[in-house]
Amino acid sequence: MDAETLEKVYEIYASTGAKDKVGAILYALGQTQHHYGAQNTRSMCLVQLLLGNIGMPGGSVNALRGEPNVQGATDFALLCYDFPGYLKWPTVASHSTLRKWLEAETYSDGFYTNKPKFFISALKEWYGEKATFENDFGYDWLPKIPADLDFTHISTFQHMDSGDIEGYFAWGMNPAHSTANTKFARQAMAKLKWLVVADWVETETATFWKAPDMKPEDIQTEVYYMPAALIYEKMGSITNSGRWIQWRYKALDPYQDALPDYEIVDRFWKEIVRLYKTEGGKCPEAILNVKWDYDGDDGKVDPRNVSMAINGYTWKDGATWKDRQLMTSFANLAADGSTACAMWIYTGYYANNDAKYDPSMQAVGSRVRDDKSGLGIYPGWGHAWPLNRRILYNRAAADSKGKAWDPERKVVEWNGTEWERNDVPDFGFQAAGPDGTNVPTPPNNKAFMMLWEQNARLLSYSMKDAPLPEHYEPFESPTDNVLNKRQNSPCIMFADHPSVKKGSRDDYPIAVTTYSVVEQWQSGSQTRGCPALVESRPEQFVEMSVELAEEKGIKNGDIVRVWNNRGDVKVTAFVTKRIRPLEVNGQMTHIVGMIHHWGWAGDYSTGDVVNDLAPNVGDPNSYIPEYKAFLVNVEKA
Amino acid sequence: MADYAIYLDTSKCTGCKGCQVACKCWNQLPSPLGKNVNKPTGSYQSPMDLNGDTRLIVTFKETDTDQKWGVNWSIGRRSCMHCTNAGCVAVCSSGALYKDPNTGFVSVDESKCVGCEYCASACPFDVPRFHGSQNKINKCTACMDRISNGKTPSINEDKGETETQFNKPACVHTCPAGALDFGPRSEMIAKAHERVDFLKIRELNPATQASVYGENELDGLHVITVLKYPVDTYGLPANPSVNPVTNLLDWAKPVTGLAAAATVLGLGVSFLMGIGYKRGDLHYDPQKHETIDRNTGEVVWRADGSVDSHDKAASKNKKGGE
Amino acid sequence: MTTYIKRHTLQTRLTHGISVVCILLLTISGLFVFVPALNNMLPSEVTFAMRMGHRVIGVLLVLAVMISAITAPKGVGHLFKNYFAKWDKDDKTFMKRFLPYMLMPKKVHMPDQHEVKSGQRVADGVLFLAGFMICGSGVVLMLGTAPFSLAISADVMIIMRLLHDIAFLMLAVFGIAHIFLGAGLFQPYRRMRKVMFGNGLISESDALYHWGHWAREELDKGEKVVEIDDEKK
Repeated sequence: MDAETLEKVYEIYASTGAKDKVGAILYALGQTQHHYGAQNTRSMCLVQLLLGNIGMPGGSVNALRGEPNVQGATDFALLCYDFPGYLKWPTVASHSTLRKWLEAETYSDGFYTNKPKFFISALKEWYGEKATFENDFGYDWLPKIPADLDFTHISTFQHMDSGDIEGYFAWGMNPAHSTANTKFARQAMAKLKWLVVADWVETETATFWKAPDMKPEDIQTEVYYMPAALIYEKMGSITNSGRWIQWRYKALDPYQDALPDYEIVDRFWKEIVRLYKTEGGKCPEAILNVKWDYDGDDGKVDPRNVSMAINGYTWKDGATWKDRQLMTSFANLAADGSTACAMWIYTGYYANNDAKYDPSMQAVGSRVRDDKSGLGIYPGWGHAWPLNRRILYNRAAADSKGKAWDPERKVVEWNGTEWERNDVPDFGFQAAGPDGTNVPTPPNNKAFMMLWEQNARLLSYSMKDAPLPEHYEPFESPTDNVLNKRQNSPCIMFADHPSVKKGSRDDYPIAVTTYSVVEQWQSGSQTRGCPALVESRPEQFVEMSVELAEEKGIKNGDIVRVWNNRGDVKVTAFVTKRIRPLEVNGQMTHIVGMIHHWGWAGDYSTGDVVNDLAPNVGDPNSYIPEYKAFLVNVEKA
Repeated sequence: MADYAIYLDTSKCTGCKGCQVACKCWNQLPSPLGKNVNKPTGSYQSPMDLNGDTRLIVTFKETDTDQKWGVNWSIGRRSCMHCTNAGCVAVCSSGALYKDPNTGFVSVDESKCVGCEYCASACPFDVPRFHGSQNKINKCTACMDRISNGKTPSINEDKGETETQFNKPACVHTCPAGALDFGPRSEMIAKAHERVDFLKIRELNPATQASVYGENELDGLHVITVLKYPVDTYGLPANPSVNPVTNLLDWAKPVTGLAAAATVLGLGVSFLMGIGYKRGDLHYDPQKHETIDRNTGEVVWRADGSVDSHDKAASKNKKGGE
Repeated sequence: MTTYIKRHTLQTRLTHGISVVCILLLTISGLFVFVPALNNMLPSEVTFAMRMGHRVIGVLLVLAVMISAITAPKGVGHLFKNYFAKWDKDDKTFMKRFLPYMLMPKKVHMPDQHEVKSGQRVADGVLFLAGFMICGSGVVLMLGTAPFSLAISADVMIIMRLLHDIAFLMLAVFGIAHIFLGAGLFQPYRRMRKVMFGNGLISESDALYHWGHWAREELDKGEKVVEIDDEKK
């Protein structure tokens, strides 16, 4: 991009800093899949904070997390170092006891002074009657993350390779397609003793030994495939990027033996408990003390009971779901075992005591289309956590005196006596007075109550790598970092692992980025099974400039070989003027773009796994691999 | 219902092909099965043309731009244009193709189609394709089965919501970009002009060659398109017209019918005039070079030309000519 | 004893007979497929079968005529000569008197004709031309549609259809007339039917009446003359 155009972009975007203007940033993996991806996100936050776009309708930093329910995944802490509701999972190093956890994690001010209530209510839901004040609510039965071991995604395959991990559950995830350096991954998987895959089709992961470069006769892994129901074949809830939780109803029965994944989990758990009871095992309290009372009248796990557990309720020994009192707000959770709540941020989404088994009568099933404010808030459509706040940090939509920055975009406004509101306030807008009634809290300069100091952090100490973003080049880059002397982030993860096989720009002078197309989705296990979608996008391609194609004697539609130290794939070449060679630091540099949805599994369309090429290095905060920028070479196949 | 139209704004279309796939789903049109049988196209477009099982495709064409960056990417729709002057309806030999009087769309009664492919030669957009053992026509019907079904109730009608949704073609219904719309034709035309006017003057990346397609072509199409780039980049003809021979063909059946009838009538008169015709029993003598009538014994022809009863202008013989 | 002249060979009669059958079937199937009123009387599967039948019979017609022509080059040459020879006075007179003759056959006398009457040259000539046109355009139409689906431009296909329609118009008008005369529905022409559909022999009397010049030539030459005992007929 030329300086003039860039300046124009800056000018236009910076103009959204005006009081009557707003700019939104929407981002996804293009920002995050770098070894400094979290810092990229930080940059976006800083820009929006400086422009005053946070908390404004039509503003904010918006992660596009959609169909795979990534929002739900992070809410429920499917990442190994998280505890549900964005708390921290106990570590050996810092949280060996409940006291240590409470002391280390509870903030001195702001909303997170309430963490003990959330954490202990979760323990109470998990261990039920067995969790008491005396036994620290069962805290000691929780496994703790060891100090020296890393069980994040990239490490997992390193552990498989070294034999530390003998068995692996892959739930609705297809790492044999989607992890970085998939060649290394599948070779590592070949060392597993057992593998359990729950998915709706036989994915690459479920058939890793069938990859063209694998030798099944040398592989000893016992593989169990659990056919799982699709989202239309089970009821439950889904959470979108706007934190809206919406109920989904079952439309049809699963195919043949497929089961909803929660039923598969339920059966596993019950069998584990049965084996512990009959045969015994290590740490029996951790298994046998768990409360597991989610069955419906048909003896199968009922997601509505699970929803009530997530929502939270007052605890009474001996009560069942039918008589438990659901809570409407996490403000009412307690740290003394009198409340139970699997995940505090969702409280309120399933709180109607009069219709426990009718999700359409719960907030999560509400479908009211009204938008009185005209700001696109739709308070009656589903439930947005926390407590149906639609615009996060909405205190920042008004100045320190409580006056809305833009009268046309009034989310909250102090009228002298109280807060006028078009959204649930994301700040303390009232407090209980001496006589018990609510007294409106006059405006102050605090807008971010989830931080102890309640102000935004331009400088942040809670990022693992840096207080402020800094420019680094990708792990494999066609050029040197000319902004500072450090090529890559000093905190880059896993760069030293032998599987990474860093490539030099002499061998691999072409920069590549990987992305998706709209007709296919992720690892293609669903979309490559739809003939109409395969028809609309039949081949995997690499897009390149006319200049590069001429250099290599490649014509549009030719099959080409793309390779580096990690992998070697064949795809179709698309030659286009949309891609041009870039002058980078004075050097003409070629760049290509590849799409990635193919693998060897599937009945209608198969291809090479492009992620064989991506480097398995990671971000120190998120551990996310660097799929978005690395080096390859290209030639006609 | 009045005159309706499908509306497409190519400047809003993201090329997601939701319309292409929704059309297949709603009309239960198959896609190729078998492993890796789809022909690679070397393009974002796939398939490259309509076929017996595909009524609608999204087209992609990149041309050079006069802006500083990028290309002009003409992303368009290739499907039936539902012409007012529909050549296909005019030539359809079975009446399978017809104009719906309520909406103006050209729809298909497949039960009547005999697969003669006449429509294919009359369509200025080369749209009709054929499928099945009986070679029946496959083309967009504007989801006549959806839109003729009237209004559908809101999902919250039982909760007091009165908003109703008029059934739209599957493509329009699924479009996530709001590029497709459906409504009274005059409204769609007005919407298109408003958009084109805006595109031409907008500050960033103005589309100076934007145009409305479908207002007057072929007496008006029932697919109104806002074209962001020049018309030929969408593979559309600038001045589509039905081959004038089609009109000539319209005359063929009635003229043939009339001519045949006239012939039969005329020959009927001739037949009547020929009743009772009798002729003499002629015999030729090769030696004498004479022809005689055996009945009368008369010489009726002589080689020296002295007698030639054929040459008489009229015969007084009541028994008929010779 | 009656004297006969051999007018039409077996090959001629066979070719004509096959053509007659084919053309009748083609006409019926063609009308049912392309006249909407008739088309809609039948289910589309039947109409489709008729259209496919139309093609098969069309191909048979073309093949029959081609094979006949190829196996009798002398006959083709002879036919060519008869149809394209120069027109003499009798030929022209015949044409002038033909319409009056059709309406007043008892009063109008026609001049002697050669082997093929000038009227035949015109009428049957149109039939030949229309036949070539309809078969030629028909073959192109067939090749341009399923299952052959050759890439033939829409404009060409439409011209082919126009030619097909025009040819059918010609066939309809001249075919009806040809049948009227050839089948001997027209009283002065009775007994003509037997010549083409029977044994190919024409009586001396009829030959002298219709094709005077030719009849006398053949009777003079004698090679094609046949005497048949009346009782043996």
